[in-house]
Amino acid sequence: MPSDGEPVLEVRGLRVAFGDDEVVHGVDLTIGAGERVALVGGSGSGKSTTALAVLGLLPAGGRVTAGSVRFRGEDITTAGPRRLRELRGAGIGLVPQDPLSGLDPVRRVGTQVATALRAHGLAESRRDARGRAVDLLAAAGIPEPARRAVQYPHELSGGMRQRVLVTIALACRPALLLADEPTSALDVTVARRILDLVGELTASSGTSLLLVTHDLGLAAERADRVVVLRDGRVAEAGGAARVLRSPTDDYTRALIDASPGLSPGAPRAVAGALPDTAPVLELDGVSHRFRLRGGHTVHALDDVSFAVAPGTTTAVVGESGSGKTTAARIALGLLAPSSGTVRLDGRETGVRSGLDRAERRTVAAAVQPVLQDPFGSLDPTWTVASLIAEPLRVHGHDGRGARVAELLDAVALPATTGRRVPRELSGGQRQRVAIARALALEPQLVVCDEAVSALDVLVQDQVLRLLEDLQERLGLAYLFISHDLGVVRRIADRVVVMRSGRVEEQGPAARVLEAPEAEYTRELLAAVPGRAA
Amino acid sequence: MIRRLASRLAQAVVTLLLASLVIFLGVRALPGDPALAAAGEEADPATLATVRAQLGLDQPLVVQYLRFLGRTVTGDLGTSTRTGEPVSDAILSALPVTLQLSVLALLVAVAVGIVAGVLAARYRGRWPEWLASVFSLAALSVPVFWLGLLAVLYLAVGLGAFPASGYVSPLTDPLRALHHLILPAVIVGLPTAAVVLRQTRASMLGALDSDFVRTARATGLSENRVVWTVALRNSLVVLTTIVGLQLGTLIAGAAVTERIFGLPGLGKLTLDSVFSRDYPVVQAVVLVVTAAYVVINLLVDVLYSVVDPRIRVAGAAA
Repeated sequence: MPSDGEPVLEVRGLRVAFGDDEVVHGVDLTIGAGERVALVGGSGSGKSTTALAVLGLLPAGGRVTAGSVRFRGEDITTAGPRRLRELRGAGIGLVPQDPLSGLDPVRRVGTQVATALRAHGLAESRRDARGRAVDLLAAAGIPEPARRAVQYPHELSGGMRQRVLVTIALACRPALLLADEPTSALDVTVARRILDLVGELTASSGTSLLLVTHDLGLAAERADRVVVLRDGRVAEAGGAARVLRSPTDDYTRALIDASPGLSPGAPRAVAGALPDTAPVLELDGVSHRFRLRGGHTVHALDDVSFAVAPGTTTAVVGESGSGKTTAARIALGLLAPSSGTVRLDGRETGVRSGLDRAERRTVAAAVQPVLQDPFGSLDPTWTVASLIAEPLRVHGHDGRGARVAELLDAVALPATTGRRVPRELSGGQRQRVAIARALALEPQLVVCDEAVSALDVLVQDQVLRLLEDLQERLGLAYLFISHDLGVVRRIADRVVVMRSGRVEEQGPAARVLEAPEAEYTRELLAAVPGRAA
Repeated sequence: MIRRLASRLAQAVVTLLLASLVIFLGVRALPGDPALAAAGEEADPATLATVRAQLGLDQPLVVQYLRFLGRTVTGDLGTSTRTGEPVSDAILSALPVTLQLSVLALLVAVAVGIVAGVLAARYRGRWPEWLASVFSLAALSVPVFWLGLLAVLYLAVGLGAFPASGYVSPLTDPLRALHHLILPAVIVGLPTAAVVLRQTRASMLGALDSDFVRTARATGLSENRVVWTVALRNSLVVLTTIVGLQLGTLIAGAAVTERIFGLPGLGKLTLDSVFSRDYPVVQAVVLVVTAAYVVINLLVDVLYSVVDPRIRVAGAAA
């Protein structure tokens, strides 16, 4: 959409610093009326900081040190708190990244929408505001809006909460909507619907959109123009299709190459003949029920069977609540299934009664985890060397120092990393530490539970490369749990698609991803951003 | 909700039973023979045996405990060996004084602590935070008895602004009662105010840094509303716990203050009874204070679900 007349937002030479550290070094950005612009970059590129600086909502310690922000021609760089307050919500709306923490947990969602209306005098009374809030929630596609309005955030699903946040951001009909990674915490199919909603609502009211995202595919799909940020500077800017088709900047090119959605490549060829080799791990008719207090039971897994052959990768794909993490925990021996059998290297483990101590040790030595959150899964007070040595110590191995050095080398971390603590490492480095730790006991199978989901595309690419390399060298088998079909396409030999605790379909990656049989798989594939571009 | 309440109630009863057992055994373990104390040092063995039988001390411990329990439940807490009057009378006259003092102290502490804590968090790194941290350090480190003595010396005796001692029932004259109680209440409440202040400041800092506060700011709410409604409302869950725990501390702290201000409360009663080895009274006071603790905790539990809707639903699903 071409911009006509005065731009809605004009950022010139914006510099932002936290203390003495400058993180945004002179960013220019212009958004015309009704225009959709995507601000793209990896973590630490300054994209969110730039967006929040526009609203004067930088986290504590952050301040704009130079440059100007003009909103509809008015310089708001040095606007006082009163003027900023008038603009927030009424002039510029914000949809935050995380729908789980973005809403006040102790106030009803309808009240939170009503508060936004009343903050700008758009409702005559409390009652009027509540009524309007219900209408707005209905317009955001929330079913039974009157009932939902009196519920608290924790009673709503992630997608519903994000709809509420979109409602709040657009309640006062702002001229510009800032959406800061609005869907990165959501399942793909939910994310798609939220982005559709944002698209519809902004288009119908002529609201301009600044979409902050790390996903170039998503940016290209949802924006007219793309601005790529790297280390706080604009690396490239231009029409979405042009940037994607013929990037002029190396960084943009690297982002495109690393993006599984944009550069799909062919799925792995069917590796090995699965029926011939005895599987490392086999789940046979496994069910798991969680009993809730009050007598209800939830079937987290319902008659699930799949296998992982030595030296290959089996990916389990599904959205939240599909049971994929429960399957991972059963594979790790952390959870005993309610029924069915789990065979590790042909030996049955995990009977109904649960594992005894010795069995758990055997399973632990053969199956090791790499978890999603590289920040939460490493003890912050331990050094990297002691973190990696811990499994060795637990299992009474000698010569731990030499083994730690070997493992650090295997995951391409310098030996000096051993003396550092997790907080001194980047997300990608931490995930390498987690992988080194998983490899310490020379397991046959590594369970990667959303192991690359928290990483941005470039780092994700490096970690996936490392995993592939290790598989080749050590003959590792992976059970790869993921919601990201792009990543799965790249790494999996076999794919198991799960939904509500059941296997929807499974088979060789090429077959499942290229010629899906189940409707649900097709839906998941269609929701991957960037496929249309 | 009702289920949750019932389960909490059952837990409270079990706690009380256990507490009564500990108190019963504790008093039995104290040095000295109650029969000897009752009969007098020169009593002959026959008299001693009679007294022992009268007091039920010749029965097995289990029987003694069950009798003690039975009497306690029916409100019979025994007879004071010091005054010869029923223990329940002594407690009934002392308990309201201590409760008034503690609740008033708590009100003062919560009001001062929350307001100062919120201001300290809102004006982080500026003078209100500095002032609040000096205040909380002082209030926590200066002993209550010393502060109480100073208050009596300068404010009550010196300035004559407050009565130096004595107690007036609010039933006879509410204003005079408040006048008598306010100074001791402030003194007892100061350390609690400091604890509430620090807790409020810490949880407010967390809340003000959270995503939902950013959402509230992004909708154009004024900073005052963000601070006093959104952030403070979210800090209340933690505060409820602290305040509940502090009420116990206040009742304990009252013992010293009551003595300084000459208030006829539980604290004074305990001290007097301990010094004169009046075990039935000591036993009853400990029991009453324990029961108060348990009841307060029960109330805090119920309050949680009022303050935090997430707990309410967790209870409903249970």
